[in-house]
Amino acid sequence: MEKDWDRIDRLFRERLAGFEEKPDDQLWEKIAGRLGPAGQRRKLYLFIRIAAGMTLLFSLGLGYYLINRQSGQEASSIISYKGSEKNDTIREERPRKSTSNIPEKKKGKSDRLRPVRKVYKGPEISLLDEGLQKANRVSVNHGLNISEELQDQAGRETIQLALLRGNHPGLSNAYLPQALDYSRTASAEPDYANLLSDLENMDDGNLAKEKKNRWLVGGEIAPLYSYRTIASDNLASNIRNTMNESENGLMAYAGGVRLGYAAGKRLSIQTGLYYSRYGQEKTNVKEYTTQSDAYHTEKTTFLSIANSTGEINTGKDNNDSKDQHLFNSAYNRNGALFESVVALNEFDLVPVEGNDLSATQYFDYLELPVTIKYKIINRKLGFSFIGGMVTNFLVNNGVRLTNNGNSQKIATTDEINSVNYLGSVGIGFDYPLLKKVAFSLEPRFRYYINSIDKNNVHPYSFGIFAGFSYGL
Amino acid sequence: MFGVCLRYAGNYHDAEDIMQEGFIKVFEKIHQFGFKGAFEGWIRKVMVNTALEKYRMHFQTVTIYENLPEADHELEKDITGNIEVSELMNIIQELSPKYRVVFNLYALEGYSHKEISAMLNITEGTSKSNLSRARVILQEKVNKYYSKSIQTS
Repeated sequence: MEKDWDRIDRLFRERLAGFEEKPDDQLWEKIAGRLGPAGQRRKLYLFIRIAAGMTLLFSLGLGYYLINRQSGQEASSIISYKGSEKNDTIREERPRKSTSNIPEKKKGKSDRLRPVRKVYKGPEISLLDEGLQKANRVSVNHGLNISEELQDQAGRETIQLALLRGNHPGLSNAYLPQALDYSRTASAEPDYANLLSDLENMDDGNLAKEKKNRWLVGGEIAPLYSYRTIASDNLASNIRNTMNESENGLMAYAGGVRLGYAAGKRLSIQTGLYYSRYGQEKTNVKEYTTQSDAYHTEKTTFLSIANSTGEINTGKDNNDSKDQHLFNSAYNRNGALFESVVALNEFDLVPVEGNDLSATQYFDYLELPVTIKYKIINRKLGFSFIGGMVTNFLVNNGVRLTNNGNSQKIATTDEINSVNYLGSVGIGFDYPLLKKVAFSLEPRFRYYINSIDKNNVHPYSFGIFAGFSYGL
Repeated sequence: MFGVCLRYAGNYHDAEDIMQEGFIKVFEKIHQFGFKGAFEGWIRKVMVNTALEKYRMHFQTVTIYENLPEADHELEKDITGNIEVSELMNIIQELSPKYRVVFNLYALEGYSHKEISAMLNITEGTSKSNLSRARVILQEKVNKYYSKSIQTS
């Protein structure tokens, strides 16, 4: 009798276990229809991604627009290496445009993020599958090929079609008999229980639950290009033009440490502490000497630095009898030309030819960023959109004068804010190097939300941050 | 994969339902597949599990103990070469769910009664009983088919 049972079992097993049949074509249309909501979700994600991308482009475009719409005439500002009390009149004439600083509100922060790497550590495939692998390598190979294909979205779609149409070689031939024979004969294998737990896990939807590195620490550095926009509307367009033509952005650096927390598979939040240098270079600095007996000494020169940002201050008072200072002017931005100032003060200045002078204003900050990072492509090479706020604390600033290649610090910039808030947007690429170590590359654009000075000047920066992160 | 659904289902329509539900699960949980083994096996597991869910309610009914049945006739010796696969599929589909699922799990998938009892939340005795009952019915139907085919040939 038992033998008969074996025979009936074997009959069905041999004939049916490996039997495959193509379902009706309508079935897979139904499935595609059922997947509609998921498709819609994908569309939504796509929409969000496109919207985020457009926001980034808009931000960059806006920055570009703001930069280029500025025009103005270069106003006169003077640093005289030797002073005159009358220079004070120049200061008095300096107009003070009412500040339009944005009210300081909550701290803006931003930072960069590291992607959450997705490492599947779920249960092993069941013994049944192992049976498949051991008993039929061809089948396994097909399975692995499928796995590789699945590693991208396109592959997923391909598989979807292949599975449903039953035309994938690895699926149209289910080598179940061999697998089953193996699993039946390999009674020493203790792993049927695993299959059960797998199935239970599948019910609970926690098959892929894994322990992730939710926290990460890291460091990064970047070459940082910064410049500014002039939003002041009480400057004549020709003055703004002249300033924009005579000033250049500053190539400097930034770097720091970061701390991140992964709030989900794609979403993470990061903060950190960074050091960065913003600034700008003023070319076409004019140098004058005076023919006036009252002010003339051998070394007395006057510098005209009509800068857009802050007030350049040599820190020397007007009565100082030494050469190189006197006072700075710098802020005569109401359109009064240097010549008229000269005339007013009877300096009787004569331009000094032959020198190639430029002045570089730089502002050093400690930055506290808080940024959100959303991973658009969650694969080995990840791609993310990043946005957030940064609070910048001014820790140092200076003005260096470069004369025919020789540079020296001659002044500082006054009248600039010690705290600024910046918006930050960027994109990020990350790639795992070791199990817990990832390399990241993140181009970021930052823009001062409140003005750096009292004259509605908004610096911005672009930097490509390269760094490493370590998952804790 | 549809073949798996067919032999767990009572009919073609139910098999389509299982296939449909199973694939929805596959696509919803595809990110959970760890790329560590045969993808095909993983999908089949999902299908089987979907079928079990579909018929789980049938196992909640109290099974009255049945004496282990005996086959009325021995299985004809040469039948395996003659019977059509489609006929075997029909025969297995005609079983009631509680017999069909246990037979599939035991005879075709290779699970033990202990495992089946855990999967279906029934006792091992019930599993054995259902299997035996399934075998008897299957054998009767196979023999019936065989004798019919002899007559017609």
